[in-house]
Amino acid sequence: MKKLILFSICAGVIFFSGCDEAFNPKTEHDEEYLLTCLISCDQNYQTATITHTFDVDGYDPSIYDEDISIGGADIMLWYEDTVYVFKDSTLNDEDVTENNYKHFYYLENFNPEHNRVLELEATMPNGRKLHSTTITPSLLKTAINAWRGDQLVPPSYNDEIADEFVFYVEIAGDFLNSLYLPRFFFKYKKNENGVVNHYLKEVPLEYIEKENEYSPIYPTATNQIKTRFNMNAIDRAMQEISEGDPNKDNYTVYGAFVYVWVLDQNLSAYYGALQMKSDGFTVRVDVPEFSNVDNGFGIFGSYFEKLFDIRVLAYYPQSFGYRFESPEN
Amino acid sequence: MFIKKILTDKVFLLIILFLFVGLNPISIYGQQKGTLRGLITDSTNGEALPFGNVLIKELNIGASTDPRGYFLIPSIPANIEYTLLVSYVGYEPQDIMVKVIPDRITHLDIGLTPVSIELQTVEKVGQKMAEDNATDIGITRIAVRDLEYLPKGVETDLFRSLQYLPGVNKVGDISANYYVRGGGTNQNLILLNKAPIYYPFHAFGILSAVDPDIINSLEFYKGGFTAEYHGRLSSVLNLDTKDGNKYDYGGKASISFLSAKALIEGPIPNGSFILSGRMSHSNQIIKKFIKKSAPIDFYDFYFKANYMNDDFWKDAKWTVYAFQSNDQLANDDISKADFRWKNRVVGLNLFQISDSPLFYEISFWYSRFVGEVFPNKSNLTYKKNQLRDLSVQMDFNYIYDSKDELSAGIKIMEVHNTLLIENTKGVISDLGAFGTNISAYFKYKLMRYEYFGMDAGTRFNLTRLAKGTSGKYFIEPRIAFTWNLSQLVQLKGAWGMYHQELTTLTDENEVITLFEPWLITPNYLNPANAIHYVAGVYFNFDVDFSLEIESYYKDMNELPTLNDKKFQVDDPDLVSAEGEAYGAEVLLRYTKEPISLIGSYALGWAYKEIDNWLYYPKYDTRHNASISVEYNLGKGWRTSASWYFNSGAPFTQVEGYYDKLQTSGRTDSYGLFGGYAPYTILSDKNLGRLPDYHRLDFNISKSFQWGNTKFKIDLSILNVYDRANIFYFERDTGERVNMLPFLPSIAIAMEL
Repeated sequence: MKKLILFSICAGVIFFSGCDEAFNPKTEHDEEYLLTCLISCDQNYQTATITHTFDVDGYDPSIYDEDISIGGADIMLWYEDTVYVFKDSTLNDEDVTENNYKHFYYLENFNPEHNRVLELEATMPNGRKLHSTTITPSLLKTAINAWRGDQLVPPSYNDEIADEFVFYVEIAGDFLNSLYLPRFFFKYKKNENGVVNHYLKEVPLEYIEKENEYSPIYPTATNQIKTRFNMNAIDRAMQEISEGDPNKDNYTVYGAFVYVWVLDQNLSAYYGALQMKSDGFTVRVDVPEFSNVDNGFGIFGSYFEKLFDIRVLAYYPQSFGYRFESPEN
Repeated sequence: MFIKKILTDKVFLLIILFLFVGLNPISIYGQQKGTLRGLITDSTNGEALPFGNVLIKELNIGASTDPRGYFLIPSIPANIEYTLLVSYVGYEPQDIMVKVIPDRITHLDIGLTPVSIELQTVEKVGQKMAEDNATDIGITRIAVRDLEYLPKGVETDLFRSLQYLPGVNKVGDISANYYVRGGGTNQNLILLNKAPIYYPFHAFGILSAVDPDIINSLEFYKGGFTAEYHGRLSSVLNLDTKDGNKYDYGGKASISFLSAKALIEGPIPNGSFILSGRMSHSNQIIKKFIKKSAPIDFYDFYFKANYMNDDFWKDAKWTVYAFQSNDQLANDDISKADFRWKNRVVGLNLFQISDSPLFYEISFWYSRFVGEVFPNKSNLTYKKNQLRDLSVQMDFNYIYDSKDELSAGIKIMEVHNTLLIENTKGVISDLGAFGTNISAYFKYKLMRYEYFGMDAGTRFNLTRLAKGTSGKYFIEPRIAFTWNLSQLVQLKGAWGMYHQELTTLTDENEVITLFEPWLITPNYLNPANAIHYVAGVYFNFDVDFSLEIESYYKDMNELPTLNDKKFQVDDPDLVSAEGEAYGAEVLLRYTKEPISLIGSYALGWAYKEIDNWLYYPKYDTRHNASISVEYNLGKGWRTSASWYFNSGAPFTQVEGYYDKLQTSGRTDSYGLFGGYAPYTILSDKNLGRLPDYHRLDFNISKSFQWGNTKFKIDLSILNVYDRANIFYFERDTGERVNMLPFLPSIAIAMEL
């Protein structure tokens, strides 16, 4: 019996150690179509693209170098009682880059109001129709540092510098399902060999310090009423404007602003799905994907932007050795 | 539908009533009879020996001991001297002459002596005769000493040993968690001295948190479980712990690549105690499992004391116990999140025997699970899950002269649940709730006929845990039977309805999960429910040789499933799914010293349906097989080998790519979206199949004694032929991530 067991184990080892099957995690590719159209409520010029899906040998899609955009489609947009037709634009080959497609569609002089229904339908050259609807975002009610009564950098209250700059936002209407994204910038210019160049420096919420390296944490889209920028982060961002350059005098800070994007419900859901977070250990083999395009996929959404100027007190940039110039000048 | 349900329930209750009233009232004796009750223990330490066998030779009737070591044989002609054969694997059998007193219970305390390390070639006696009509379909009973010689992952693990049973699928090499007959991992009830433990795992699930050294017996129900169990849809794992040495102080210590542990035990006035602790000392081996370094530390400890004093409370046994497990993943980098999860169980049991054939037990427990994610400066969000279960349960068991048994019980369970979770939009909400479940059961066990046994009963749930559901009671009727066609062949069957009100937010798309919170099924969903149909044929060729064939069908409804289409804040977190599983299983056992051989095969199908979309859940593997061979080489040497096979698990294939509009990076001046990037398109969920999984493990151990100290050195090799079993593939790179490679490990144990 001992010999039989030993023999069985050895035979099993030899048999099974030899079998290593081929495994292909890919399946047959069926071409699908993707419609992308983000309508800005602040601009008159709107664009849309239609692309097709593709496949490559292996797992590096960046090796696919053919243009995937589809021209010759009819795209119509219904707004209130009017139908708007997108125009087809085809770029010359030399104008096509990694960041744009050969074919795209545009609509001029279209600027929807808040809280209105938009309906989009694209009919492709092969007759297939892609369809979607969305509702433009509601109005924004915003106050900066509202409960402290000032809109200053550095944030201060009763002559004392606060430990954070708080940006306060409220969206009228469906606040629960709509996201907004605030981004905080300093405006500065630099004299570079007699040429003055203008720049923006974005302020993160905070920095993480690790072995004397600072990693910024920027705001992500949220529907929380308050977004808090840490005062240490504001100091650090101000410092980074000229990091490594001893000639601080070449820098002039001339203002700050918070730029806010407000997304409609569909665009919020799309943005939210893109922000899925990983803990570094959890391994997901699938991810939720948002699409609101019927008979294909993609995103049809709308948004508006708003800029809020922030007053910078002169002494603050000067304390870093910079010049200060009032935006009013 | 509702009327049909009520009718079905009422008809079932009438059957139970008939069995209770019609079959039991009067026993007419032709001669005086008495009852024999006994407690079988290990003579060296007083530890109860569960699932042992006794046989009255002259009458050819017998019984098995329960998890507490007790047996009871009623209706024995009195005043006649009988030979009682008592046997237990690994112990020297005893022949005891016994005379039963008429109309009384004759109690025997029987101590069995373990055979020496070198011998251990004792034959079992009378097992086949003990309880031929026991209604135990789908139950596996395991003595912990049987696990010690199986190949180990890193150390002996109770839960991993279950994965060799047909119908039990492993989550993967990484985890000791398991799926049973097409049910999810959250459908398995794990009880420690009757109290549930909600997440009994260490280190990503690599190791179960219950140290096998504290366990005395293990009962595992794969389905069709009877009315005393409730709260889960698929399986019950019932763990009973040791009492501790009643006669002498002793200790045990061991060390493996992952942890070190120690145990002390000994007598106290009118009782005994046991105290054990285990803690991780290295996490290097974890890297082999999860393919990356993880700064994880864990510990667990267990304490139990029991007290029996007839002057204080006659024929009562008081037990107090506490269990705690704690895991912490603490990075020294604040840009990464930290994690913590822990279980705490505190309980008090009163077990009472009496001068009549009545046993009752009252149990109180407090079981708490906490899981937390501390985001630090990572992009994660704070999450906390806490579940506090405060329960009292009373169980009564009465054995008639006919051998029939009547059992009844009541349980009051109060659950406080907190689940603080922040969604992708930064909104923190508490999905937790508070609720009370009051349930009662009774069942009648028909044991009077030599060739037929039946266990019929029902459970009444008078209240639901979810808020706003008052008046929504539910009933869970259950029945199981055994019919002996001959000495060789038994037919067994079971049917039952089951409900589950506590669930986890399990993301089916995750193959490694760190945060799997518990919550009360919200009131916008009905409690998950299932109906089990189980049938089997058992062949007992010999005392040492048996073959079991079982088939099952499980219909599951209202399964709370994580809504992976939750894109809006007010979308529900959970949606309801339907499930179905069916299959057949074969289990072959041959145990004759020096060889023990267990072979199993399972053929199964599992489906899940959400929104009219039917798919294979990730645990749907068509074929599962395993073979375990253990050989006693003598002189303290033992060796074993186990081979496990399952056909490929489902996975979602890559279909192609498209250019997806991405959020802005921070390199441009400012903008909301930052252009297009290729994105993977997945095909329909779980339509692909991974390659087959198979693995051979090997173990050899040497036990020896040096002075008064026993030693055991244990060498295990996992994946002997270094099979590249796929764990998952990275869909973005196509990289194949494999499970455990060839992995030798060694453990050393010392016992005083």
